[in-house]
Amino acid sequence: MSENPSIIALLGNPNSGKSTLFNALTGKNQRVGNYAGVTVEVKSGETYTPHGKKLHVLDLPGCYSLRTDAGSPDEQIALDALTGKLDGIAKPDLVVCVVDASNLERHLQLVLQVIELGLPCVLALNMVDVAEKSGLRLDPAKLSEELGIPVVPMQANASKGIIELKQALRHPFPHASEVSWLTQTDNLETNRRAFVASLCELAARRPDSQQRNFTDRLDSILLHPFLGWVAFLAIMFILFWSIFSFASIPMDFIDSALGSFGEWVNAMMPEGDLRSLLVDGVIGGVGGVLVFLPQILLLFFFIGLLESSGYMSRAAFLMDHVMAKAGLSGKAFLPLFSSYACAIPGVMATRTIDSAKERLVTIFVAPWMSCSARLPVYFLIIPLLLHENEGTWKQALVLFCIYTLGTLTAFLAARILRGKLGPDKIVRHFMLELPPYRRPQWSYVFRHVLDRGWAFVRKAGTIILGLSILLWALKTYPKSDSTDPGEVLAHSAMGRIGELIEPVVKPLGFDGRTGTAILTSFAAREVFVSSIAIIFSVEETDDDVKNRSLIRAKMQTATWPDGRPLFTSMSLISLLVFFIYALQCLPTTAVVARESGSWKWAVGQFAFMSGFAYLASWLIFQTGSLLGF
Amino acid sequence: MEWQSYIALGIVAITLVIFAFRLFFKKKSKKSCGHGCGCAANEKQ
Repeated sequence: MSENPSIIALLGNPNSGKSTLFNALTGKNQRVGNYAGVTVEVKSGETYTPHGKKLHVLDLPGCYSLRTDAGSPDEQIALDALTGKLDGIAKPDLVVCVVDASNLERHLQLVLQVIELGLPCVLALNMVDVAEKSGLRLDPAKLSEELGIPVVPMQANASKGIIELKQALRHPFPHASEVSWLTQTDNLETNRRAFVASLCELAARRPDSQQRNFTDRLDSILLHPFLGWVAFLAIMFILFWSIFSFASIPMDFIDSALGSFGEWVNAMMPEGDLRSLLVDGVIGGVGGVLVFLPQILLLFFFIGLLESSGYMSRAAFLMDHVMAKAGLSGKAFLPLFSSYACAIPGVMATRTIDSAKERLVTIFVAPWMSCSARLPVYFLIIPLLLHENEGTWKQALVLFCIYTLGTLTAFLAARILRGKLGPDKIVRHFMLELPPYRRPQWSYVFRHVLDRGWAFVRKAGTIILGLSILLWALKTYPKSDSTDPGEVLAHSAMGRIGELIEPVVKPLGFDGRTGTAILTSFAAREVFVSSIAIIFSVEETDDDVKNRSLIRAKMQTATWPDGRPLFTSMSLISLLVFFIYALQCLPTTAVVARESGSWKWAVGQFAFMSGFAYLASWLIFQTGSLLGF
Repeated sequence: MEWQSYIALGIVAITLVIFAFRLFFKKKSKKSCGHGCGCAANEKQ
């Protein structure tokens, strides 16, 4: 027995519960969801046998087969990992094939291919609860006998069967099974199908008459050609409305707590640069972003619900027809939808797309799906545009329109780009797993929400804090002898930068101060809010501040030097349009370069999207101004 | 200059040094953006 820990690979069809099992074995918090293609790369962790021997566990991307001419990158990664061709990962000593017990006919095909590779194998018969509810009569002992490998019935999401599986992973590992289904016929596929069919007749007998279960009944509505779309639009609208309305109470609380904290610091410290740095720079800058935390948490909560319940695949199914109009398939929907949360996992999720051209196009347009980093900017501007306090249905409608505009433009760009790249040499068909509806796994939903919330807070406490301090310095130094805030700002480094930028951004309806805030947001979009908070802050506070956001109040009263209001309806729309289209996220550019295999694509995407954002804002503002708005 | 100005300038200087360090010296994992957005940080590919 070698001293190095043995390597166990978890393999299975998409949505068979591999990542849930991986989390249960390793205690990790790998992302899971009730739809295909959540895992797109090899994840690793450690677990121990009942005798305390350490095992190295690999969670491989879900795949339907192990073809040597693998179409999608995730299938190729799985095959390379199993054959020891993946850099830095040795060939596994044992493969745990995870199958959905309610769908054995399809899932067993992959198990046979693993056995054909000559790898020792254990079958994790997952989701036995779902299979039993559907009336399936499973015989794990018969399955084990026919396949020649250990079979462990389990329910990974309830941690049932984990101990039994660990028992099966004890040394010595089972030997590779004999391949008994390959007859003289050359067609491997036919042999496997025939074997699986006979196996299922013996070990997974279905009831005589198929009954319509809960999933079938719900799908008759949610996949209906008309009602399905009504439900889809209603779900999306409720999502956006909830983000605005439910979040207003905690947002007001955070806002007033930060205001009180700022007042307390003001009262406790004598006037000076440090007090100004703490109140205007740190509390104003970081607090201006932190106040949007409840809305970010709500967005991820709803995305988690949709993923965990199984609705996400239905949405992809519905969208296939729409995606086809953009030259894409339903497979591109999930990466694009993931991009609403963050473009980076969205770009990585394109690995499930077989066609290289379709994958490139999806990567290219993914950043136009409005990500959560844009939300603080939208939440700041929309109520200002509508002259309302936060939390009305009109604001939800505007937010919905913003997301629709980004999405439609992405589809249009995808269609044009797909046309330019030409058709694929091999015609590929869209296949999608429609998992049964399940009760959401609340532990994962809440853990995901907390992780993302923590990531947001950490960003506010690091990058945004640092930039807020630097912005405060730019706004404060060099110092002026004047007491007029306008003159002090004009004399400062920020005022001078703004003066330089102003000719470039003026055609879009912005002054140098807004231009400076936009410039800082290329580090991270949310920084725009803290920059605006720092640039427009004044020392006094009054009663109105308690009822509405301080930043919006400052923006409302901001003027051009000749006294005209700075933020008009047109300049606010122009600002929104700029943020919808501009690619202000360097990490996304880096991931695009890696996933597309070329910096040319990444730099081209950055230049194109920034240029497009500028032109679109210019067009909107100039047209609106000409029409007298 | 009073004491508050010295401390404030010190904080700004430290921030600048940290940003410069992050920009030029800190190597990020090639597998993720390093921003904790859930894109497989610290995972083996």
